[in-house]
Amino acid sequence: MRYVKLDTIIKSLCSEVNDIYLHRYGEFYKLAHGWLLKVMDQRIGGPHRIARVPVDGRRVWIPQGMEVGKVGVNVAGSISVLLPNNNMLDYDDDCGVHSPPDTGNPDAPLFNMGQADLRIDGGNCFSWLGGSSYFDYMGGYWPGQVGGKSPRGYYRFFPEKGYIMLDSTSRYTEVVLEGRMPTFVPYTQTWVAQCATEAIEAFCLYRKGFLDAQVQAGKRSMVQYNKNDYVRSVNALRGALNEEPLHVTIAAAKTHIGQIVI
Amino acid sequence: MSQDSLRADAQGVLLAFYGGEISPDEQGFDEQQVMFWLVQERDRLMERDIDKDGEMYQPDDAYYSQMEVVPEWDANRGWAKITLPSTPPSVMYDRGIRIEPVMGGGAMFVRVPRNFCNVNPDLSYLEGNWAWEMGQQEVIFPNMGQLDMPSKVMLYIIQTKTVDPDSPLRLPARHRAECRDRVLNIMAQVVGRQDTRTDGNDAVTGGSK
Repeated sequence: MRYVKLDTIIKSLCSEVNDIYLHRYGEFYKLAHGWLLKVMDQRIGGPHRIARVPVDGRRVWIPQGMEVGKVGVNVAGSISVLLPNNNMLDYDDDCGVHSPPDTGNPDAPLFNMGQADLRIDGGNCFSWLGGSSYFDYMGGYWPGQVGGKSPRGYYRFFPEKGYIMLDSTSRYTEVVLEGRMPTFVPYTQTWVAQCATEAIEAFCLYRKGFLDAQVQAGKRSMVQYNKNDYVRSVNALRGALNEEPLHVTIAAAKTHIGQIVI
Repeated sequence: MSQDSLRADAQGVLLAFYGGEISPDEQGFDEQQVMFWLVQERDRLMERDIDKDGEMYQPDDAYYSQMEVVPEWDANRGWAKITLPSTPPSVMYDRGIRIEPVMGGGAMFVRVPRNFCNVNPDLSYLEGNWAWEMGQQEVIFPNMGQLDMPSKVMLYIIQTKTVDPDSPLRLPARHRAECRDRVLNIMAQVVGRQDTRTDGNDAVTGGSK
């Protein structure tokens, strides 16, 4: 899906209604912002974002407003995900300080050989049978970390606290969060799906006329006309958002090659 | 009424009125008087445009005077502002004023309703544009910090009742003939009331007194 700046949409709308010097920008901007809040469809806004976030005492503070999809680490340029473990605990101690108990890693060894936490990332791992022997073919893996286990570690969301907690065996200084930002964040550029352009423009025109009619008596025939145009553009937007991608259509068509479809 | 100065336009009107028959010393109207009427009729024509098209009216470029102005910081109120040379006419959306960056590629200036940034602090960023609001014979930049102030901004303003003899009259080309006709009409009416010719004939009937 292509995205465009809301700023571009508003300026384009201004020029289309003979407001080339942007005297109506503020009003249209307010209306467009209101529309984005009301529609609340993440497909319209919410640009994709990958963020490097430092680890602060086992905790990763989520960037404001980010809807996190993946939590992982950068391994040779690709994200290697950590796995969620919703059994991890994050207690408050008597002083109200969060004090997560060790380890939060369901695959942690049951016994401690002095450096029990030094595992996972290869470099600091050790082998039960000494260096470069039996288990080293798995790099830093502990036994049992296969098939659905995470070679990188575990995490748990604590959304009410605003952070993600890593298990105590993690040695990362930063993690990579992949997700989406909210459509509108103050003091940043707003990006919206290009297919929503017409609906936003139509809404601004309709709503402006409608609001004007509330405070200025008089016949405003354009309000009804603009409302019809807005409904039409929203129907078009809905169609665009729910449309099957082209490759799905092609794949569906290919399955019928050589068949007689009645 | 052209790129000539207002004084030259007034001289043209006087020439048309008197037909070059008498010397300026003997003319009943002087340049200053005609310049005043030209400006007055220009303002009336502009108001007619504004009334006719209402909120959709985008004033002609020809109405605007252009100048570079230096923003100043209002420490008492905590915002940047520029002082206007005069109050522009009342046009919807404050279209009597246009503000642009002096240099191309700078952040755009967008007009917002009065008090917009105070009422909508979350929107005051305005997608990176500078906001401007009309104040009392000043323009306020509510989302511009003191360190962000550009050294100059380009101000386009419609000035009314201004009689600068050496500047062109700010009037669209389509109104030039009408403006001149209106002034000539005024002059004819005035002549009807006062005898400005020294020919000894009655100003209205043309007969001898």
